[in-house]
Parts: sequence; structure tokens; C-alpha cells
Amino acid sequence: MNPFIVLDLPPDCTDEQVRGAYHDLLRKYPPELFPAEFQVIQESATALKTARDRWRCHLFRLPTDTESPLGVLNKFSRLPGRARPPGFPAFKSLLRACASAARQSTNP
Amino acid sequence: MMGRAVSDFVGDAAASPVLAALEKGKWRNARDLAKDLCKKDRVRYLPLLVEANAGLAHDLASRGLLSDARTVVDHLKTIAPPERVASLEAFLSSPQAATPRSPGSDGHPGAATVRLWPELLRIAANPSREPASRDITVIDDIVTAFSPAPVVAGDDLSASLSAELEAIHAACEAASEGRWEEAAEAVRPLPSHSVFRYWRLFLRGMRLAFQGDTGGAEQCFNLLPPGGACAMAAASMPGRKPSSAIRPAARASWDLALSGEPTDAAGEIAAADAAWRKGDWTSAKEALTKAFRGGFPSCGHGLAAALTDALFFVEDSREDACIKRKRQFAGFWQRLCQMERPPRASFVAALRTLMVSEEPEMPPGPLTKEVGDLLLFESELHGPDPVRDSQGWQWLGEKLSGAALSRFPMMREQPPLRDAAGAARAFESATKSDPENEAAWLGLLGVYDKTRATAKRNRLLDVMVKRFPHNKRVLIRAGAMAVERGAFSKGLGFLEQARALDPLDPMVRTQMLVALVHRARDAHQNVKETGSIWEQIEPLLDASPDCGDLMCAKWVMRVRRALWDFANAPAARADAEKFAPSRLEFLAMESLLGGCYNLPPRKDWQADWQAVPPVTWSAVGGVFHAISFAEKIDGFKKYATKRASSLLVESVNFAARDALFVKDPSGALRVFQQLERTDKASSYFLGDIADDAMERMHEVVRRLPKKVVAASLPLRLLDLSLRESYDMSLGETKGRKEIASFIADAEKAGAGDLAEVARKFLLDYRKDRESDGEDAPDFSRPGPFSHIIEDFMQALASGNRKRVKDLRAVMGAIGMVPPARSPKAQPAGRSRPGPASPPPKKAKSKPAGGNQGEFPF
Repeated sequence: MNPFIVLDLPPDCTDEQVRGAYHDLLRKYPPELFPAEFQVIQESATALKTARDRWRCHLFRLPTDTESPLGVLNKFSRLPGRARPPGFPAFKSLLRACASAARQSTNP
Repeated sequence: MMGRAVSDFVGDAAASPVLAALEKGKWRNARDLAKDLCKKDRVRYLPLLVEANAGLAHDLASRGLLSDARTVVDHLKTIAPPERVASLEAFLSSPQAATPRSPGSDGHPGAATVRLWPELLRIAANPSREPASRDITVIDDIVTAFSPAPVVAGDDLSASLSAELEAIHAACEAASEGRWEEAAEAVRPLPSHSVFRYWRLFLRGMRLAFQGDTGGAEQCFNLLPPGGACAMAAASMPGRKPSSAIRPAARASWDLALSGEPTDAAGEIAAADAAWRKGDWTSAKEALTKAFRGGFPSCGHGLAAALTDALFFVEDSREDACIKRKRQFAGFWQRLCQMERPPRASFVAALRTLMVSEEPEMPPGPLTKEVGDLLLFESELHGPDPVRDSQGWQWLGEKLSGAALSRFPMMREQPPLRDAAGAARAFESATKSDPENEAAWLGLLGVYDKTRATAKRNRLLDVMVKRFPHNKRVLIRAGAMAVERGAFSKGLGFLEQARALDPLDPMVRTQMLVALVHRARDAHQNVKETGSIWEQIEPLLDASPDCGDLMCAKWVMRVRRALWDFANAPAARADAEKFAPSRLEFLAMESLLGGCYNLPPRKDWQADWQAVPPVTWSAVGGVFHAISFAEKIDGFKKYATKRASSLLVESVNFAARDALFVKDPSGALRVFQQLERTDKASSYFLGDIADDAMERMHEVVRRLPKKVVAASLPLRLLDLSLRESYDMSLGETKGRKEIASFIADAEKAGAGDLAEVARKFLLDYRKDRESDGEDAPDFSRPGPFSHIIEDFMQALASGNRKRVKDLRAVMGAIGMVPPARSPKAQPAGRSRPGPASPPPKKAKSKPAGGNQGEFPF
């Protein structure tokens, strides 16, 4: 995933902003408990360490793999620090959609 | 009589039309069919008639036809159990029934609760039984209706179920808002055998998933009944892969809600996804434009930026949908290029990905122009930034200073740079924009170095050392280059400065040794004293005999000293032999270095070599390592490959003399692999030397008795590898059989590593050879925009001049061909790529404003 999206920062951010975002995420995802998330956070922060790295990444970085819009949305919502309780209406509609899908799979 | 549930009729062929009608909500039809069945067997089929009538009553009530519904309920009193009738009456008197649903809507979710409640009572009446899949569906439907239960006064079971359902609903609401403790508290009173126990488990897993305890969440989710709503919803939790059975819009809505984004774009994102999967890039883009309420961000960090990244990515694939997407994307790019004022953000997003993915095939001119345009647009969009400009020019410099594609790949010579002058200009612009950009300075130095512009390089180095006095990389480069041109003292000075910055850096130590050895060699050639130089060298050496870097090995330096320092030669030689890993390697190194420095061999060297004590395969490998080291020394080429080759072949002979092929076949295999790898990836000379040694190994192995070879798996693999890679004597079918038989035997004997080597090396090698070797281009693989060429050729053949012109413009825009000769007039103050662009001219694409990187074109 694009490191700017992981750290939720624009390309013209400062070194302090990168450090701040990195530390905020590490507080939520300590490496000893979340090794996979830590790796993503660490790689993103390293990729955006200096202003030169950030502009280079912004100008010339290509996605590593092809992803459909729903796939992108799914990855985005599961980035470290992104997922939060969605609220009752969204939860209800997910559960109803699941029940409907389950009913269809039971009685195709 | 009424103990049977609707689900009990699933296997009954006669009842299946009734069940189908019930499923579709065709209540009258179901009732008529059930009546017919009851005429045949009333006792058996009465529950179906009850179910059809109950559904009808419910349907009528939810449409506001309460008196009709009551009539049906009155009729039901004669055939249905009292609790069923009671629950229907409760519904008829509830406010839900009093409010008729609007036409076309799905009706009250509470309808399902009322309709399915008797079934739930039946399931709950038998708590010890594991619920069937139909039961799970009933429970899930009741929970997800999020409607109060139709409680009948005096019915204890119904009342307790109603309380449990209420608790589950409260827990769901609390959990969805992150009030985890409240959710846990709500479901705590539920008994362990509750029909809603899976929901409690799901909610616990959900809490753990949101709190980051993936393992705990997995444990909970794994206990959920597969195929149920809980299991599907569990798949949508953080850290899990969502189920594809859920409607795309619902998945999108959930993911949007999870990430805190407004969920009203879910429909558009789902539509974009469907279009994208079909290859309809244009519709996907339109749907996403609606979802974003505007254009695509060229520089962002939210969801819109993530989707922009994915949409504007040109992937290289032969999939039909992908090719279709690429065509539409190319068409979009063409339209953008023809617009008077294209939307900047979309233009930049498209230009950036197209330029980066097409860069390897683009000629230097159009590539330079596109970089200039990109920086210009970025500057217009986000304001001037010299660091950004510098990075842009540096990237261009790196691309242009790469190796050009060789027209004669078989000639093993250094290919020229792609565009040396252009690369130098790009790096100069980068250094002007950002004078502290060390990588750009080093890039420029590399270009001067590769083009042998010695004077420019030396001047640049002096500037760089002044600008970066505390930069280790710059000091090492400056030191190495000074040594190369014979300025030993100056070079060593730079290297000493680098060493002071990082005393433990192995690169600094190696470069210092190189400098001192150069100096000693120079002193020796000019018959000068070398004693002080050896004293400087000594502390830098490594006594470890297995040191991989021979430049730092004490024994190698002693061999040198024995050759150059006549006074101390015997002691140095004795020392060298003591520290050397083997006598074979010592003697080989003595001969190799003597040859490189054009010195005659010792009188007794030949006798020593012939009388070499028993050798090991590791020593033979060491001789080849010594040759690889000596090959890099000035003078090796004069000394030529012949002597080095005979040293190695004779080492293989010593191994054969000592029966090492039989005693240590694994070592022989290791040496073969070392030679084989080097043969492919090293220089011309080393490849020839390795070839000679492999030929000798092949001769030796061929003469071994077949029984001996067959008895040892490593020896068998060596034999197969030599025959396959060197002799090519394995026939097509026989060869495959032999390899397959070896792999089977190795796996049987527990030698999986040998089987893997055979699989990888032999089969891959065979594939390479069958496809005419590594130099043959792979014509089967299409280029990223090969379909444009195909379309262009078709248009040419069909004489469609307009299509030819359009496609020519697209090819010009993406740099596949030079831009068209007769461009339209450019809008004032802006240069952009595309069919209307003029050919690149000097300073035409100079970035505006703060772009200090004037690119002198």
C-alpha cells in the first residue's frame, strides 16, 4: 500500500509529521503484539523519512499489484489505525446482508 | 400432529412445490398446493397448510389489510396450535401491523420475527440438539430483523427467548459503537445452551478483532457454524478476508463505515468494481468520479488517493479484461491530451503512471519532456518545490545513465549509456535545484566516470569533497578515484578522513588496502623502499583464513610481500603458507599474483605444485576463488586465462588423484555449482576458465564405473548435471526420465535438498535450452501497450486514415514513437505531452516559478 496512505500524510509533510504519525501508530500497534502491522508502519515511515524520499515516492512510485476498487477499499479499511467500530446502522445493514447471503447459500 | 416443522419436509418430493412457494412468499399458491396435499394425507401435510395460512395472514396484515388477516387467523384457530395463533394475534395487535408498508418495500423486518417465531420456539424446546442449517437461518433471520419478539402472555419459553433476543440486540448496538464492556455485560445472562449462543460468540470475536487480538478472534470465529450470517459477518471483521457471497454494495458500505468514511458512496464503488472486473475502465472511472464528487486527487492520502492509484495503474497482463481496460485508459489519455485545459489532477495522475511504466521503452527525448511536464504540472498544482524538482531530474538522470539496450547481446562488452549527455544534464539540473542532493552529485560523478570524462570527473570530485567534507560515501569515491589516477597521498588522505568518520566500515578498509597495494606496486616498479608501506598495511589485515574478502586476507598480502620485498621474501612466504587455508591455494595464489605482476616464478614452484599434499574440494573451490580475485587485478589479462585455467584443471586432477569424486561426492557437487553459477554471471575470462574445469570434471565422472555413480546420490546428480549442462548428451525423453527417476530416488532417501536442486537446476536449464537459450527474446510476452501496435497495424491494413492518425497520436503521446510532425498550437504558457506537443526543444519545458532546475535543452 502507498506509504502516504498508511501514515495518512500528504507528500509535502514535514519530517516531524512523519515521526508523529509513526509514533501514534506504534502506540496503537506495539511491535511485540502486532508484528505484521509494525512491519507495514516501519516500511512506510522508512520510505517517507526525508523530504527527498517523500517526493521521490510521490512522483515515481507505482502500485505493486493490480487491485479492483473493492479490493482497494477493503485493504484501506484494514490499514493499521483505520478500522474503527462502524456504528449501528452500518452494522445492521452488514448483518442483514450476511443473513440474506446465508439464506441464499442454504437454499440456492 | 403439529410437531413437524417446515424444515422436516425438505426431502419430501411431494412437498417441494409448497416449500418453493413458501420460500418465494407466494402464500396463496402455497396454501392451494398444501390443501391438495392434505386431501391425500392430512395428518402429515397439515403443518404446511398452517405455515401457508400464517404467512398469508402476516402478509395481509403488513399490507394494512387487517380484517382479511383476522379472517385467516380465525380459520387458523381450527387447524393450528394455540401458540402459533397467539403469536399471530400478537402481531395483528402490534403497531408494526398497524402501519402498512409502502408498495415495493421489503416490508417490516419484524415480519420475519413474527413468521419465524414459532419455529424458534420449536428449536429452543430442544436445547440439547445441535441446530441444523435451516435452524441457524431461522435464528439469524430473527436476530437480523432487529425487531421485538411477539410475546404471548403466560408463555415462559417465549418470554425468556424474547429477553435473550433483546440482550443480543443491545449487545449488537453497543458493539457497533465500540462500547465493548456494555456489549459483554448485555449478553452475560444468556444461558450456555441459548439458541443465540453463536451470536454471543460472534460478538466476543468481534470485540477481540477490533481490539487487535487476531488469535483470540480467530478462535471465536472458527467455532461459528459455517455458512451462517455470523460466520459471514465474522469474515468482514478487521484482519480477515471478506466473504464474496455478501453483496458488493453491502461490503463496500461496511468497509467505508469501518474506515470512518461516509457510506453513501458504497453503491458507486460497488458499481465501479463490477465495471472494472469486466474491463470497462471508463464506467469504473465514471462511477468513482461520482463517488468522489469530483476529479481524482493527484496527491492525496485518503481513500480517494488509494482508489486513484489503483485506477490509473497500467498493469501488464494478457487477461481480456485487463487488455480492455488498457485500451480504454489509452483512449482516455488521448482525450486528455487533446483537451484545451485538461483537469490537472487527473492529467498528472495518468501522466505519472504512464511515464513510469513506459519508461524502459521510451526514447530519451520524450522521456525528458514528460519529466519536465510532470514537474511543471506538479508545480502548478502544489506550488514550487526545489527538492521535488531535484528528485524529478535525478530520477531522469538515473534512467538515462542506465545501460542502453545492446544490439549484440552475445558480445560481452560494456554497453553504452542510454543517453550520457542527457543524464549529465539531468543530474546537473538536480544538483542546481537542490545542492545538498548527494545522490544526484554521485550520479553525475558516475556518468563522468563511465564516459571517461576524467578531467570533468576530477574537478567534480574536488567540488564534492568541499561540499560534503563529512560524507563517507563521497570521501571513499574521491579516495578510490585519486588512487586510480596515481595520486596515492591525496587518495589515502580522503580515505583516512572516511575512516575517521566510521572506523569499522569494511569498505573503507578495503579501499585503503587497495590504495596501499597500488602504492607498494608502484614503489616496487620504481625500485623504491616498500618497508613503510607494509607497516601501514599490517594493522588493516585480517588473519582469519576463511575471510571471504581476499583483499584483506593476511596470507594473500604475505604472498604479495614475498613477491615484492626480496629481503623479507622467505619469512613472508613461510607466514603466507601458515595463514593460507591450504597449500594448494597458497601455491595457486603465488603463481597468479606473480603472473599479474609480471614476475618470473620461483625456481622450485613447479616441483612444489606437483608435490602438493592430498587436497580437498574446499581447496579446489578456493583456487577458483583466488582466480576470481586475481582476475580483477591490472595485469591479469596479459597473464591471460591459459595459466589460470591450467591451475584450476590441475587442481581438479589432484582431486581425481586423491579419489575425491568417490570419497566426497557432495564436495564435488558444491564445486560444480560454484563453477556453474560463475559461468553464467561472471566475466568472459572467468566463464572460460570455469568451462575448462567443468569439462575436466565431466571427463573424470564419465570414466567412473556406473555402479559407483549409481551408488551415490550426489555423484548421480553431478553426473546428470554435467551431462545436461556441459555435454548436452541427455536425450529428450531419456533425459526427462532420468531426472524424474533421480528426483524420486532422492525424495525416497530423504535427500529433499538434492531433489530440489535437480528440479530447479536441471528442469530450468532444460527449459532454457529448449527455448533457444537465455539470449532469445521472449516474443510471446506482450509489451505494455502492444495492443496499440496491433490496432495500428490493422488500421493501416484497412486503410482507415482517421484511425491511423488517432493511434499515431496515442503512440506519440506515450512515447512509443516520436511526436507527430504537425502539431496544433499549444495553449499559451503551458507545455504538455501528447499528439499536439511539439518535439522537445531547448528550454521548452522549463518548469515555472520556483523550479530552479533549469534543464538546458
